[in-house]
Amino acid sequence: MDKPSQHATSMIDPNLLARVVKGDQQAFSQLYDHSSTLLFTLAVRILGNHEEAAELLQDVYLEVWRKVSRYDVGRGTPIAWLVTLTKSRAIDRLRARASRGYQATNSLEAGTATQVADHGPSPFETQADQELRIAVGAAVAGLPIAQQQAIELAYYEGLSHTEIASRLNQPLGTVKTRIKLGMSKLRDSLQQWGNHGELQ
Amino acid sequence: MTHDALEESVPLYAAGALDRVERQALEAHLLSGCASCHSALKDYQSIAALLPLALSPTKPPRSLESHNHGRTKSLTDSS
Repeated sequence: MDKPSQHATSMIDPNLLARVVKGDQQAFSQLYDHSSTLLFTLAVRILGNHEEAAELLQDVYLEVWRKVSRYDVGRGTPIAWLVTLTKSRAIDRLRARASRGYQATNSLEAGTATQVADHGPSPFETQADQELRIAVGAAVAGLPIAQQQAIELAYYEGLSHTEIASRLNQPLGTVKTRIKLGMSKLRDSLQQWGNHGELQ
Repeated sequence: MTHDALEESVPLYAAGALDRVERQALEAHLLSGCASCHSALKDYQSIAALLPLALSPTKPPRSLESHNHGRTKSLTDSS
C-alpha cells in the first residue's frame, strides 16, 4: 500500500497532470489514487447507484486521459477541474435518464439534504483530507437548512433556480437569494481551503 | 444584462443553478475578458468543488482501477 501522504485528494499537484499530458501511465495511476474516492462519492450521490457511478467514472477517467491537455491551472485546482468534469457528466446522465422517465433513487425527501459526512477518521484519507472534510462538513452544516437545500438541489440534482423554486413552491427571488447567501457563506468559511491547491 | 446582474449570477453559476440562457450570458461576458467576474468565478468554483468532501466517502470498486489502467494502456499502445 502506498504511503497515505501520496493520496491527499486536496493536494493534487498540477505537475501530476502535466505528466499525464505526456502519456505517463504511472502519473495517471497516481491521479486515480488521489481522486477516485471523491469522484466516485460524488457520482454515487448524483446518480444514486453504484453501478452507474462506476460506469460514469470509467468514461470520466478516459476523458481525463484524452483531454488532460485542456486543463488550465489558471482556472482552478486540479481537483476542482476533476470534480467539475465528473459533476457535469453525472448531471448530463441524470437528465438523460429523466427524459426517459427513470425515477431517481436519491431524492431530497430521502434525507440527502443533510448527507454530511460523519466527521470520524477514515482509513482511506490523509490527515489533510480529514481536516478539509471536517471544515467542509462544518461549513455546510452551518448553513440554514433552506440555503443548504437550495444549493444541494442545484449542485447534486442539476436543477436551475426556476426548477428549484417550482419544486419547493417558493418565489424565484427567494431561491436565488438562498443560493447566493449560502455560496457566499461557504466561500467565507472555506476560502483558505479553496485556494489550498494553488499555494503549494 | 448589466455587469452587476452578471456578477451577482456568479455564485449561482458555480452552484449549477443558472438556466441555459443566463449561463450562456455569463459565459459570453467572461469570454469578453471581465477580470473581476473571472476572479469571483474562480473563487466560487474552487469552493463548489469542495462540496463533495462533505459527503460520506464511498470507495470505488477495485475493478474500476484495473479497467481504467487497461483502457489507457491500450490507447497508448495503439497510438
